[in-house]
Amino acid sequence: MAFVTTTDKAELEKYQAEVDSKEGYPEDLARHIYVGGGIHAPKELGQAKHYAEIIQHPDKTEYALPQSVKAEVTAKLTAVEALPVDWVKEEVMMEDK
Amino acid sequence: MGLMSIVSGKFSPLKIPGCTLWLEADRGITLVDGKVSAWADQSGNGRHAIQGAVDNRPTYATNQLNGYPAMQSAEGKGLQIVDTGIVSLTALTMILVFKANDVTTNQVILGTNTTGVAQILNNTMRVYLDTGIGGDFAYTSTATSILVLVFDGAQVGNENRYKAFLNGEQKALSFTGTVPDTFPTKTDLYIGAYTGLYDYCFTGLIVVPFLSFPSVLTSSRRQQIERHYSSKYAIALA
Repeated sequence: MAFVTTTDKAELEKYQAEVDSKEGYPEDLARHIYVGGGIHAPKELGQAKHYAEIIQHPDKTEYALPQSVKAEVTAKLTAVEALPVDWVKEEVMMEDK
Repeated sequence: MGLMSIVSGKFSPLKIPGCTLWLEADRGITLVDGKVSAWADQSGNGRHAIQGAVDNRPTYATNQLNGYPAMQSAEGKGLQIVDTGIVSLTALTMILVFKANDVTTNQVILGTNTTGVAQILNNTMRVYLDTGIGGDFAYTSTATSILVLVFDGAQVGNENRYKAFLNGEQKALSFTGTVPDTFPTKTDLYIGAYTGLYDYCFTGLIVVPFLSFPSVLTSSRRQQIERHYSSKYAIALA
């Protein structure tokens, strides 16, 4: 999985749409099954709409990352907030290797 | 006749006036591939707990506690209730039923963006109103537990304003800070987690993460609820 690091929102959205399409997002609501009695929430409320979520570094750089590594990378971004931005990008890109 | 109609028949929290939020693991669950994407509020107020991120969805486990299903929470998993509307109340009663896998690590059963409303840490149950304000009591059990938190802003003094009952027994809270006379604003809530990053997640089974009333329930009402969940989930009351 390649990461995209860019500040161009149009580029990010294009990438997001491409990956979502490939991975089958937004989720097909027919796969959401109601269990148990009582009131149920509208299925759309818990629907996954993206494979990847865009996160923003304090320097406003945005990253589209797979959900599975989002928390880890977000923590890393926070931890190295004071370091040069290029170093942060390098660290993020290393996840791809 | 009015009282009889309340105490007779099958128990439901809705028979107690003012139920603002009621989540229960054998009702209102939406599953995707065995994971919980939504847990519906049974109070009728629409405060549903949801999880739209696939990797953060908790597992739904059947036949867990006394034969009933439960949400299996783990690291990185949890649900969010957006805009609970439970803000600045002068009185509140909250009920939680859960079973921890261990009681040493930092785990939030019910949390907000800023703090854990109920969290376990180093054999301690920490019940918070807000950052720096709350109370601790010893908690060493990995058995299924009923925790009732009662906030009464009309009273004077920490121990009168905020009380905790574990399995029917009032616990002496070791307070930090001064309990205010209104419950601090809580908008978004997290089930089995803390903050949108799903940190300090609860590891164990949750069956009733949040049942709340905007009032101080009378002892008889509270005991009625405790007896119901004691019977349902085979929990020994003190």
